[in-house]
Amino acid sequence: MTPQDADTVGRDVLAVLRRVCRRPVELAAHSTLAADLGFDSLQTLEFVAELEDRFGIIVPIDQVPRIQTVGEAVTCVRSLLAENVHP
Amino acid sequence: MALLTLPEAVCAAARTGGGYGYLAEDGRTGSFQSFAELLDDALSMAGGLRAAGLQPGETIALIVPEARDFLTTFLGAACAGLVPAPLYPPVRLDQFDTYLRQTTPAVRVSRAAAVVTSSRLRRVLGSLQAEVPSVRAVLATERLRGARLPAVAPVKLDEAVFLQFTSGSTSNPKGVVLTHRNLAENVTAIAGPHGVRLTDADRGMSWLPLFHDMGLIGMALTVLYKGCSTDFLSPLAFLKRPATWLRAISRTRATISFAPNFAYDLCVRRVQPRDMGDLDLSCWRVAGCGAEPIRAETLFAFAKKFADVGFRPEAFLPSYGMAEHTLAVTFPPLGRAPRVDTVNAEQLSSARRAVPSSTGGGACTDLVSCGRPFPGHDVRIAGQSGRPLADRHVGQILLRGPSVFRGYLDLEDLSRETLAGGWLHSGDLGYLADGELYVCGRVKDTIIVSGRNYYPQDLEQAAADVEGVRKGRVVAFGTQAGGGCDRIVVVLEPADAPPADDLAERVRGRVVEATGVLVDEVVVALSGTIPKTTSGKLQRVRVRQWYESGVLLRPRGVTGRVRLMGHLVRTQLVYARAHAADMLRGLAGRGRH
Repeated sequence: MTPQDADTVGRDVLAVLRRVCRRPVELAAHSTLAADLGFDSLQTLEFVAELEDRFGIIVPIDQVPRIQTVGEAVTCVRSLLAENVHP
Repeated sequence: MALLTLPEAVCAAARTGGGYGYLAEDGRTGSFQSFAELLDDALSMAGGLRAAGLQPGETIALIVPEARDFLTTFLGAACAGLVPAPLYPPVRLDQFDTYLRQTTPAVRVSRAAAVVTSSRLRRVLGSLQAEVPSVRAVLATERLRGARLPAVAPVKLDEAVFLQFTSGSTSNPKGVVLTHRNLAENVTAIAGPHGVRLTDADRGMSWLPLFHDMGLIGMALTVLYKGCSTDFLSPLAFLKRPATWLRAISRTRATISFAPNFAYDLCVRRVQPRDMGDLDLSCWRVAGCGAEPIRAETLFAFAKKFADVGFRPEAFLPSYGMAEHTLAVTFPPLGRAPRVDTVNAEQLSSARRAVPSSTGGGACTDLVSCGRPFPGHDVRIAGQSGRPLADRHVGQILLRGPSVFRGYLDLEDLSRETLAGGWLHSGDLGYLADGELYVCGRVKDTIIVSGRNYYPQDLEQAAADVEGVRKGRVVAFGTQAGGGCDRIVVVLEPADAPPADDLAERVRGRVVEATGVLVDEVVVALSGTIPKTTSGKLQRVRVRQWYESGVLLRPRGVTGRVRLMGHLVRTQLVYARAHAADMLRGLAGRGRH
């Protein structure tokens, strides 16, 4: 994956997150979904489903609890995309 | 028809063609466990539990996330003559301390002789053995198979069948003791001619957590007693993609599926046209709705959205129930579209009367009928003095009949109070009109979100942890002003003047982190406005009244922002999303169905 692709992933994850938030938020990689963005688990799951649709990946449900911050969401998407490229 | 104990029902089911299907996350693939196989598996489990030293009559705490494992263990325990107490499983291993702190009191109250869990969780639940004196072992379900019990344990109809831990705050849990008779009576009523008229041709579909009464009794045990089948989907799979539920109904040609109001709302908002192409919901003859206040507008929006794919409004079955009444209390007649009573809102709240609203006569409230009690069961509306009230007068809903529980475990005073005069005091407010029940509020200060009950104390405790909140001056309550569902409000006094700008946001964050509940509005009130009393309940009632009448004083500067925040949350996060709380932790409501 080129650095440019990596940037695109990060930007697209933020775009999805802003859409799910439905309110203006300031986002940083360390922002936590629950404490900083006030997400309940239902919103976290909606966010994950939107990520799946946007990137064409499947995030296994047992991996969802690992996504606590914006940065972790980006990491998760990148690693699942990498798996798809090299099955 | 003779009533069966749960072990007898498992044996009888093994002679039918029914069973449990377990669907994978995609809702397509899965495995099937016929009731004959289930009996075999349950007897192996029963043998394993006995070999682990557990004696008939002893209680085991059940913390098992997987549906197949859960049902096999639950029914295995019943076949061994044990009394299972299902508890909600943890979802986040990184917050394990919080989970243990919240679960330990229930395990202690249950006086469980063992905790039975999955091998993955066993490592982290091991500490319960040291924490709770009654617990002799923490066992993994995977290691309990093998030594098959030759026959199910002989139990009597009036012995305890299981404990429902869905009432009470986490710090002060209440174990609802149900007997085999309670269970048999209630499932017979649910399945019978005044219920859903269950036949061999029926098939259930459920994503409800099995540690919740509607999921366990309503969707799993009712079909077991009747010998037909139900397919299970994980709650998370539904919450991640609500369309999975509808697709699974369509694909399995399910006829019966129950869910709380918020689930229908979630489908209205999140199911996309592209998900609906191959849906055919014409098979769905009973779309049960319960476990939390039912909103007419949700039902109508759902019926409208899915009409083109075969959903019929006559399929809706808005119902009322509670764990202390085993599960179901009232059902409307089958095949009737929801009956809505439009009443004058002002009269309802001030005069406690449900006056039908004539056109243009001020603000009105739509209430959905939950139908009538089952044969052999009674519903009465009582005023404050305890005497029965006339039609359309609002009072506490009292219940009587064979589904009423025996009492809370080890809480004699509370049990006596709850069952005073031979009637179960539901704690819910409602009225009767033409023999049908309308539920319109609550006597107690419980907050209901997505079918799960929350206790203000738990929310207040989380909020009090936040730096900048004045000690003892935090009040949490649900308000139903302006709609059927609870909006959660936290009112607090700041410790500093002026309060930190982000205090309200930090409180919201902390509460959702600790309890999974999304607070709709945090009000930072002026110092000295929250009355200091020894009764949290009194404090809550007063502050709520002030809040509802708009007289709460807020420090300058904070008001606008917090107000705006509350407004944004209400309008932009969309009402039910804010209310569809922490389903990961289950729907363990005290259960209105």
